[in-house]
Amino acid sequence: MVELIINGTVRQLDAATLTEVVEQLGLNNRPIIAEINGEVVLSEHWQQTEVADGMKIEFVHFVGGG
Amino acid sequence: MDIQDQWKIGDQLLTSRFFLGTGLFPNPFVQTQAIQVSGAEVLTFAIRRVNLASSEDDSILQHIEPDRFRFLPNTSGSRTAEEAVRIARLARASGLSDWIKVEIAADERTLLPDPIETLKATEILVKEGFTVLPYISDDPIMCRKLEEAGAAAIMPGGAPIGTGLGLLNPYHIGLIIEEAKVPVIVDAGLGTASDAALAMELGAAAVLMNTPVAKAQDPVKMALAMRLAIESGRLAYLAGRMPQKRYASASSEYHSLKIK
Repeated sequence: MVELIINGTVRQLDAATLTEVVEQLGLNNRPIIAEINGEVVLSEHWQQTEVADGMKIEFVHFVGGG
Repeated sequence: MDIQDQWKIGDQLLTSRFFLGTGLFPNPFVQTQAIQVSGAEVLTFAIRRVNLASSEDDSILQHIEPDRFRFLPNTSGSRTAEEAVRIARLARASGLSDWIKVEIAADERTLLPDPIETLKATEILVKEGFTVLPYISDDPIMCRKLEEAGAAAIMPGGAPIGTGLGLLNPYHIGLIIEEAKVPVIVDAGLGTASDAALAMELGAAAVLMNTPVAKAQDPVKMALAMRLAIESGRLAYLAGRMPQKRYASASSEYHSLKIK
């Protein structure tokens, strides 16, 4: 298990990579953008991006706005 | 008149002069119809956290065909240049657009933009290769500084966001348009069709709005009204209005054939 801070909330997940995090959160195939510790991680790099305790992960997306 | 009254932001050729926001619509169906009727080619969006508590895909993009539009994400929610740059990078990482509307609110009640942070963010993002469209107060000097910093267009507000007060300072907007070498897009504060027409009559390249359409009683009808007003205002600007006079002058020649 790994303890991550995802969108401001502490979560314990059984995940080794960012792709696995996305899958476990049920976000696969959704148009989301990821950031780890303030740095953007492009989706083509999610598979190789390993996650570790204490990482701050943000998942964002486009919403309505002016 | 040249029917193809086209214009450009960066290398992007545009025909429509109506930028439409995608917030606050009563439902996706009305929004889709309003977008269609508006003829807008550029749509704006905000970037927000995904709601992890909901399994539903609440992304706005499921309702919009990406090939048909140029996306203009904004940095709303940011209060500093640093936060705006972060949001801009996230927006670009979507792979959907490298355009960014810099929007940095300095004050919660008025949502007026912070000019110093806006200039800083513009400088950074231009260096990073973004096409930067800053939302800024109707200050001619500030607009000039943003242009010098490499903004692809300048977007002065007509009035504070969502107020519908119209163009509070047409003199300043006119001066900004007169001096700018990049397109000037009047953004924010418009309320109804006459506001959009006035902005265009002053020579604005385009207008950007969201609330006036989304919060109209009938958003689809208002989208059409705004489109027509923008086209009318543009035509009036190109046609060149008559000079204003203080006293009357008759439309028919008056003296020679007057019935006595």
